[in-house]
This record gives sequence, C-alpha cells and structure tokens, in this order.
Amino acid sequence: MGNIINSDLKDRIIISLAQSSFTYKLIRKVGSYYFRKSDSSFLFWLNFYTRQLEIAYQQKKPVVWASIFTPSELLYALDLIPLYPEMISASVASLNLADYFIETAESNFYSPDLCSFYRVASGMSLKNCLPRPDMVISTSLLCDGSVKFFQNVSRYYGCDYYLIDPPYERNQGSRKYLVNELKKLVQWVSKRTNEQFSSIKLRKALELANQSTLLIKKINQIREKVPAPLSGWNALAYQLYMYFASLGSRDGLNFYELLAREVKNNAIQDKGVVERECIRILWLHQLRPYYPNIIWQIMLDYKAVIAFEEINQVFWLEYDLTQPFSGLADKILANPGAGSLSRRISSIENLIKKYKIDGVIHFNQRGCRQSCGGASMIKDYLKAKGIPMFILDGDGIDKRNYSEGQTRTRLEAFFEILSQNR
Amino acid sequence: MVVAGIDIGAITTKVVLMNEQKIESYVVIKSRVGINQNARECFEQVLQNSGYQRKEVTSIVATGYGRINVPFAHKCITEITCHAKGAYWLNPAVRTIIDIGGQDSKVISISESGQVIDFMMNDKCAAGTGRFLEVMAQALEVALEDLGDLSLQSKKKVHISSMCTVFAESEVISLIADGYRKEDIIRGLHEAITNRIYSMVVRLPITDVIALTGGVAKNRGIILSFKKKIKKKLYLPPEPQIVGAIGAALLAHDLAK
Repeated sequence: MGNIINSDLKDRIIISLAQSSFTYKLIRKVGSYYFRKSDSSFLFWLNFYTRQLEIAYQQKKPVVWASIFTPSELLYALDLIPLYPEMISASVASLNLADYFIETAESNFYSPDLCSFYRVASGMSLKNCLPRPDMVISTSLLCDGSVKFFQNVSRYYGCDYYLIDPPYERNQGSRKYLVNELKKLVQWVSKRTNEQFSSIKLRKALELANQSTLLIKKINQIREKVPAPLSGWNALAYQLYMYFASLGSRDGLNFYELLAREVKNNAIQDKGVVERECIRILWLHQLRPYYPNIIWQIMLDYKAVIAFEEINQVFWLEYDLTQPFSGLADKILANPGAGSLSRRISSIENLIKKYKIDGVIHFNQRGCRQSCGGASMIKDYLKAKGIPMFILDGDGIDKRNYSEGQTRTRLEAFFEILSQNR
Repeated sequence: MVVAGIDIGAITTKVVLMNEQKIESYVVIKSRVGINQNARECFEQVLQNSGYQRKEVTSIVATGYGRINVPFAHKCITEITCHAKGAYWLNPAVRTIIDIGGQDSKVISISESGQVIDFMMNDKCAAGTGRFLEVMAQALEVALEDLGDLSLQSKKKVHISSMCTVFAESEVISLIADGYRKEDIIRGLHEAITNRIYSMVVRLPITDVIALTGGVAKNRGIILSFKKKIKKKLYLPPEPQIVGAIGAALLAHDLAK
C-alpha cells in the first residue's frame, strides 16, 4: 500500500512539474546560471527547447508531433508548434530520467525490442508528461519504427495522422509524387486548423532555412580544420536538435549565427576540442548514447575527437523560392541514408577525405534497424580501402543495454589499433 | 630488464614475469572481489616464485576487465592488444586468435607484423564464454575440468538449441530428465559454443594459423569441436590462460625501452 501511495505521489509530482510553465522558466533560469560558462549556442538551445515545450502546453497554436525527418520548414510555414518526441526522449535520458518512462511503457505492453526513443516517448504520453498533439505528422524516411509509433500516438490522443512516405529512388517520378504528397499535407493541415495556407509564410520559412543552411555549410567547412574546432559529441546532442527542429524559424537562424561565431573563433585561435589532438573520428549514424556514459572520457584519454558526424551534413540544395515544394521533396529524397546503401557509402567516403579521418565509429543504436543492417557492409567496404571502422553496439536511451566495462574494452581496443597505425 | 604483465580476468587473475623477453615465472589464481588486492597477491606470489625483488621490476602493464583497478601498473592496455601480442610472440605464424575467457569471447585478426587489424567480441550475454560452461557443469553435476574428457566419450549428438545461459541450463536439466547421457549433452554444449563463436570468426578473414587462447582452450572437447568446424591449423599455446598476461609483459618491456 505504501508503495502505491508513493508511486502515485511521484507520478503526480512528475506530471505537475512537466505541465507547469514554472518548471520551464525555472530550468531556463537555473540552466543559464549553472551553464553560464558554457557556449552561448548551448544556452540558446536550452532556451529554445524549454520555450517550445512551454508554448506547446499553452496551446496557443496547434501542436504537431513530428518525426525528426519531417521538414521543420514546412511546419513553421504552417504556423504549427512542432514537438519531436525522439529528441525529447534524448534530453530525458541525458537527465538520467529515462528509466521511469521505459518502465511505464513496458508495463503497458510496449516491447523492450521497440526502439528506446519511442519507449520513453510512449511512457511520457502514458504519464501525461508531454503536451497533447493536435495532429501527428511523420515520415517513413530512414526510421522504420517511427511509422507505427506515430500512428499509435494519433490513436492514443484521438487526433489525425499524416504519413509522408517517400519512394526509395531519387528520380523525377519520385520527386513528382512527393511534391504532390506535400501539397496534400498542406491541405490536410489547413483543413484541421481552419487556416488558409500562406505561400508567403512558406517562402519566408524557406528563406530562413536557406540562411541557416548557409551557416551550417560554413560551420562544416571550418570543421575541416585540424585541430577540430567543434565537439562532435555536442554536435550529436543539442546541435542535432536544432538541425532537426529549428530550420525555417528565426530562432534557427539566430542559433546558427551564434554557433558559426563560436566555431570560427575557435578555429582562428587554433583552439581544438581536445588538447594535442591525435585521432580524428567520423561518427556514423545520427545518434549517440544520451545517458551518462564513459565514451567521451575514453576519447579524451586517447586524444581522440569526433571531427565530424554523418548526420550533420548538408546534402540538400538551396531552396528555389519559386518552387518550394520541389525543394522540400528533394531534401527528403536527397538524404544519403535513404535509398541504396551505395549512396550512404559514397557520402561517408567523401567525409573521410574532407575531415582527414583516422577511423570510423558506427554507433549501432538497437532500435535503428535500417542503419545497423548496413553497418557491416560499410565496414567491409572501408576495410578494403584501409580505413578502420568499429561498430559500437549500444542503445541511445536505455542504459540497461549499456555495459561500461564492455564498452571500454571495445573502444580502447579500437583506439589502440588507431594509435598503432599512426 | 624485468617486467610484468597482469591479466585480471572475470574468473582468473594471471601474472607473468619476464626478463629480457623470457618468461621467468607465472601465476594463475582465482579472481576474487577485491581486484587490487587480488592483483597484489598474484604479483607477490610471482615475485616469490622467481626470486626477484619488487624494485627490480621496471615496468608493469595491466590488462583484462579489471585492468583499470591495478594502481601499481604503469599502463593499462586492453586484452585485445595483449592477446595479439602474446599469441604472435608465442607463434609468429598466428594470424587469428580466438580467446574464450570467463566473461567474454573474442576473435582477433592480426597482420604479418603482429599488429591488430580487427576484432570481434561477443555481445553482453554469457553465451560462448567460460561462465556458460561453468553454469552447465553445475547443472550436470560434473567438475568443470572434466567437461572436455567427458565430451570425448560421447556416442550420440545432442543438439542444444538455447544459447541463453539460463534457458540452456533448463534445457540441460530437461535433457537429463529425458535420459540423455551427460557425455552427449556436454558435446552438444561444446558444439553450441563453437557455432556461436564461429559466427564471429567468419566475420574476419579465416586464415592459417588460428590460436586458441583463454581458460576454455584447455578443454579438449572444445578443441576437437573447433578443429572440426574451422578446418584450419589450430595453434594451442602451452598455457593458453596466460597469453594475455604474456602480451601485457611484452608491452611492458616495449614501454620501458
């Protein structure tokens, strides 16, 4: 009985905290003090992220739950408040709070084999710890688990779901089909918000996205410099969040202006992320473990740095504002992770050359079947080219699938191989 | 130059003392909870056996899962690198090493000069490790050391389908209840382990000569099972348990040079 009361009380506290504007204000206040010595881009992200949650709870505009590969440009143009459950799960894990929501999901029959990013988000939904969506939009791009998850979300909250299902090949026919799908999406949203679609707003969002993209390209170019002026470990965390969630918004542009300045300053001062940098790593796959772990520390011990990560590439062209849907469709189709594996391999090879990479780490997030499936083939290909690659099996969120000792041995052994090669 | 290699495994702790790359003495003891204390005891014992003083040992390298908990070691190096170094030193023809330890199993691919090219390790479960065999020996009520010889007396193949240690234990108990002979069950267990590790071996180039190291390499049943499966020249070190510690000692020597 005592346990039930305690767990009820804990639930009530967590729900109240999650739903209160005060919590997000407090996080911003405390965060900006606690992290006062951190980069201003990080503080900007903290502000952006908590504000987005706060506004979503206020429901002044329709809230859309979207998958990370849904173009945020379009969501901003449609005047929606986008929430990305996968990335919220990552931030929950970084606060070491994922277990509670994983337990909730699993005790409600969500399989432990389901991607942990979705298990946490499902647990948060079940505990009423996320703002309610008015609609759900996702793509089947790269992530096969997302379709079922978002479909389930729409059923759970009783709201409608739109799936952008891009074709496998990148060709004229696919583009035409996808343009049509995106136009249908716009009508679908307008019908639900009773708002007329504004092509001016879309052009504005794409213009902002173009400006941000230009800055990302500039940042990526500066990152070619040795020593690495930007931490790939961070680039896989809050910077990744902005990459998915901010393009098409004024905040996105402001963020990338700050980040570009920081990276440029580091490069001018020859300030590397790691002192006396010895090993440059290319990190494959879009994620890393977000709970407290030893990977970064091991990298520091070996003077290794993530010089670049596959996910932060700019692979799409500048939007032609006269043909906005065509540009958006092409962005989805151009993703190197989609379609044939040879596309991904060719982009990886390019990154290896550009960023003077010594070794490649592919993080096999358990839930990402589409990515893990190709890892061995990428490794075989790179091995034939004399580039060492290490497949790190793990889980981005569920730390029950993480073993410190085994991770240490595998990673250290890989760095020992790289050190002997130098 | 006197150097030492300490290999702290999940089940055993091994220390090798070398002078000018010649083994002076080695000790293998059961690992206990206090890793540091364990390592110290083992190290003291090897000094006693060899007659050297502590101050004469110029360099110490620790390896194995407990390597980071040996404060008197000068450097920690993974068991992957140490096994490669040790096996290559013992037999320079070796290009692949299969190490089956208490907690994990690994396959290491090395170059003509003895450098690690690539490696594979088991996932985090105990399948295909010494611990798996330990649990099965308990279920079968036979001594761990007797598993190898018993399996050689097998007359009939018994297939073990579970590789999860817990499920395999239940399967073994059911097979005993169904009247299967222990010898046949043990052979089935050895083949299950071999198949499990073979799936890692084939991910790397399978070359002559393959060294089998680790405590499990003392099991004659496992050796036979691997011989049948791999169909390559197997190299069995005189003391397969200390290959990692030899490698650590050799690396300690390189470090002190």
